[in-house]
Order: sequence, then C-alpha cells, then structure tokens
Amino acid sequence: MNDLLRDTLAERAAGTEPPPLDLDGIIAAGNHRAARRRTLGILGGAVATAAVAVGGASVLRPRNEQPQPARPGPFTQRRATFALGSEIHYGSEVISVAPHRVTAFVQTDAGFVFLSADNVIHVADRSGVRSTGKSAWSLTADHRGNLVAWVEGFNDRYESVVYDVAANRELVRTAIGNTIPPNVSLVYRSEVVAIDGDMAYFGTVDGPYRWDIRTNQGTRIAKVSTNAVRAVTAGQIVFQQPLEQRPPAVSLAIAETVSATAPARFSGQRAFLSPTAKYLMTEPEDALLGIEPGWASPALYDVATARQVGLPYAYDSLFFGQWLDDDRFVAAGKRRFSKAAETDLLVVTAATGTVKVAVPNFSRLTFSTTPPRIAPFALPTGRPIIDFY
Amino acid sequence: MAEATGFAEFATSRHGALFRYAYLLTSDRGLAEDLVQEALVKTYVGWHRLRDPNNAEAYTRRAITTTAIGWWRRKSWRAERPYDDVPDQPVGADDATARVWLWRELQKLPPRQRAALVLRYYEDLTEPQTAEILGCSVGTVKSQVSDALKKLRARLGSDVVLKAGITE
Repeated sequence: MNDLLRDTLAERAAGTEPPPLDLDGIIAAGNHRAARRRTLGILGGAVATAAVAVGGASVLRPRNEQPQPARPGPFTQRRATFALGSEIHYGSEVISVAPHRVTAFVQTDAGFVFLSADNVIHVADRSGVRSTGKSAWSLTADHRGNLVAWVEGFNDRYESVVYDVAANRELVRTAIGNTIPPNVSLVYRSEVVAIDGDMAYFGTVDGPYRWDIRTNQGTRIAKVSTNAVRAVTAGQIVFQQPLEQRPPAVSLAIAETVSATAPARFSGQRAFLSPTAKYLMTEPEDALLGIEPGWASPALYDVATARQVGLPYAYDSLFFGQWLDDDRFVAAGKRRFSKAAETDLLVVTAATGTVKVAVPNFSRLTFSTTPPRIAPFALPTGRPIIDFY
Repeated sequence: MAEATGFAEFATSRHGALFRYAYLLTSDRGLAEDLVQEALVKTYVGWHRLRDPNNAEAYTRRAITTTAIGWWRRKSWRAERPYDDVPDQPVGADDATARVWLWRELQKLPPRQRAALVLRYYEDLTEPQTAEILGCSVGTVKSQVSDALKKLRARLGSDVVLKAGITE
C-alpha cells in the first residue's frame, strides 16, 4: 500500500547527505536569543529607563565574557577620534606616537592599537608606545573590551591572531583555514572580520570561521568565500547575499546564521553594525570611485525595517569612523563644494542622519600620486582609507 | 553546562534524521539546512523545558514544520528558491520514472499536505502523532492526507497510480 510513495520518499532521503552540524553556531545563536529575551524582560521593568540612561549600550549588550581588567580601562569611553600624522586625537586629548605615523588604528578599552607606515603593529596608551613586533594589513577590535585581532601573512599560510592589550599577550594564534594553495593568486586577503564578545570571526582562505576565544576552538560557519561575511555584532552576522555573489558583491543580508535564504535588504561593501545591531552603516571599499553606481555611496540603514536613513548632502564623501553608542557614530565628511577637499569630523545621529561637526576642517581628503594612495588621516576602523585607482 | 551537553548529544545524534525530514519538506538542501539550524536554535533555547530527548525530537520536528509553512506563506522560499533538487546519489532503475514524477508532483503540494504525507509515509507516524506535530486535529490530518493523495492521483494519471499502487 502506497509503496511508491514510501519508496520515493525513502530514496530521496537516503540520497541526500546531511551537511556538517554547526553546533557552535546553533548554541551561540541560542545563547544570544535567550540573552536578548532576558534583556527585553529586564527592559520591560520599572528600572529599564534608569538602566538605559546610565548604562547605555552596555546594558543592552548581553555578554561580558572576554578578559577584562579589574578596573575599567583608561580608554573605555568612545569619543570623536581620528589620527593625523603622528597624533591620535582622542576627543580633546592628543596622544603622540612620534616618530611613527599612523596609517590605521583601532581603539580598545586598554589603549589604541595602530599600524605604522611599515605595517608594524604598535600599542599606544598614556604610558607611551610599544611595538608588538608583528605586522599586519589591518586591525579589528570589538565595540568595547581589550582585544584586538589581525592576520599575519607567511609564504604558505596566514595566521589569525587575537591579542589582549591589557594583558599584553596573545590569546589566539591559528592558521586554521588559511593554507595558501601553491601557484594561485588569491582574490581576497584573509582578515579578521570581527570580534564579538568572546567570539572572533576569521575570514580565511577556506571561508569564515567562528572562533571561541575562551576555549581556543572554532568551526567554519559556511562554505563561502573569504570575504562573504562582512561584520558581526551582538550575534548578528552581515553577509553577502547571494552567498556565491561575485565581486563587487554589494547585496547584504543580516541574520544570526549565514544562510542562503536570508533576504538581501542592504547594499554596500564594508559594513559597520551598531553595538546592538540596531543600525548598519555601509560604504564602498574604494575611497574615490570614478563612476559611481548606487552602491558606491555610503548608506545608513535601520536594521529592523531596512529603512535607509538619508545622509547630509553637504558632504559628498563620508567615511565611517566608530560607533559612540548605539545611536551615534563618528564619521569624516568631505565638504561637497570645497575645492581644497576640506574634511570635517562629524558625529552622526543614526536615527535621522543629522550631523554635528565635532572638529571642523581637521584634514583634507587628498591622495598622493604614488602608492599606497591613502588619506592623510585615519579613523578607528583598523584600515587606512585607500584610493585604489 | 549540563544542558548544553545534553543538547549537543541530542543535536549530534538526530541532526541527520532531522535534516532528511526537512529536505523532504522543501526538496532543497540549502533551505533544509536553514530550517534545521533555526529549529535547533529554538530547541536549544527551550531545552530546559524539554529534557526528554523524545520530547526534544517532536518539538524540533514541529519547529521545522511550522517554520517551513511560515516561509511558504511569506513566499520567501518560492521567490528565492535557488537550486538543487537533485539528490546526491543517482536514482535507482526500478520504477525510476514513476518516482521522479512523483517527487516532482510532491513539490507542488501545499506544505501542510506535504508535511502530512512525509510524516505518515516516511516517518511512519500515527495519525495522532502527525496531528501533534502539525498542531491540528486527527480529522485534519486525515483530510490533508486524503486531499494530497487525490491530487497526486489526478496529476500522475491512473496508469501510473494503479501500477504504482497509490491507493487510499
């Protein structure tokens, strides 16, 4: 009775091999979801208003597992920050790193980590500047905490590194997924996509890996290209959609797991999620595009609704810097009608796109005629602002 | 910690079966993988309420089914359906044509009817067990299965059906 139906179903079921189980990803997503429910429960209570007012984003952030000093770090506060030449301007405070010149930097609670012109990694805090003796192309840090991460290149492999600035020691060093095949030219260089609490996300040659910093173990989260995952914050992953999208791969989705079905509701190449993933800022890889398709403009989105928030017309180039909290971020804006390419440091309110000038004309968006064609200033994204062409 | 261990044991041991069930519902590996992942996240979140692995499996299957139906209603899986309705292994020779046809026709059934058939004829669940997973009455299960079989008979033609033995 109904043998054909049974046979058909059994045959199809037997003929499909289950994919590897991403247990870490499921547990991470589950923990995040449970924590969010608990947080929402707390926020529903009478203490919510006061808690949010005092704690801001940190109250909403359902995790605090990464190594922390006994006391708050000296640079816990996020301010309107930029680097120009040998100086890091941390709000009104100026930290000199002379004789080095800062080409890229990030902020951690324990201090600033920067790349000098020769790509050597240094740490700067109020006690001075020290070199780590390592080099990298870019740096990655979380919205808070003491960790910084980078990728070191060797002849046959890359190594992903997570470093505790407060403890002055490496927590993770792994070449997983990063064997460089012989006689190939890689389209994308490996990088550390994000540190999200006690998880690091490595964009490796074999695809993105989620790495538990505490247990020093990790798994590949999807069989996709090196740069398919663009950002991870509060358990929310920004990734290209379709997953097989070829460069420039500008359609983006946000979900707790990388999947082929999450809708692509956002556009951009580089992605910056706010600390609780409420807003998404995107921008192109290249600082100056000759011909500008729609995705080449920076874009700001409300993640829940995918509503695009308008950015001020007065600036024709806008570069993301750093989230100050869940509602405001720092950016550099080149004045639209300035022949001298005068650039202001701005504080942008994400809900409305309105800006407040924090430092007027702090630099100029100019590029040398010889490579590397990078802007004279740097913002705390961990990468220089590069004009590729 | 014990909860995570128990869940890990459950997920590791039942992942294959759950994936195959999801695949039969969707006929798409990518969607099936997403369905199982999403359902296991839900199961993990509610693990402290489940404890018994038998409850966990029924809960996860129900999550897979309801999520699949929800996706279908939102048309997201039809709109973005990407690829892959080909099994990893070649189809056998016996009754191959009929099975290929039947598989194709199964994909055209509404998800609830399809789920009812998979639960009854692949998982070999009873009508009350099927009703529990689908979240409906036994009478509804009966009517869903009956309607689905009628459609298959009508689409496949009497020759194939009679030869293949699809009868109520």
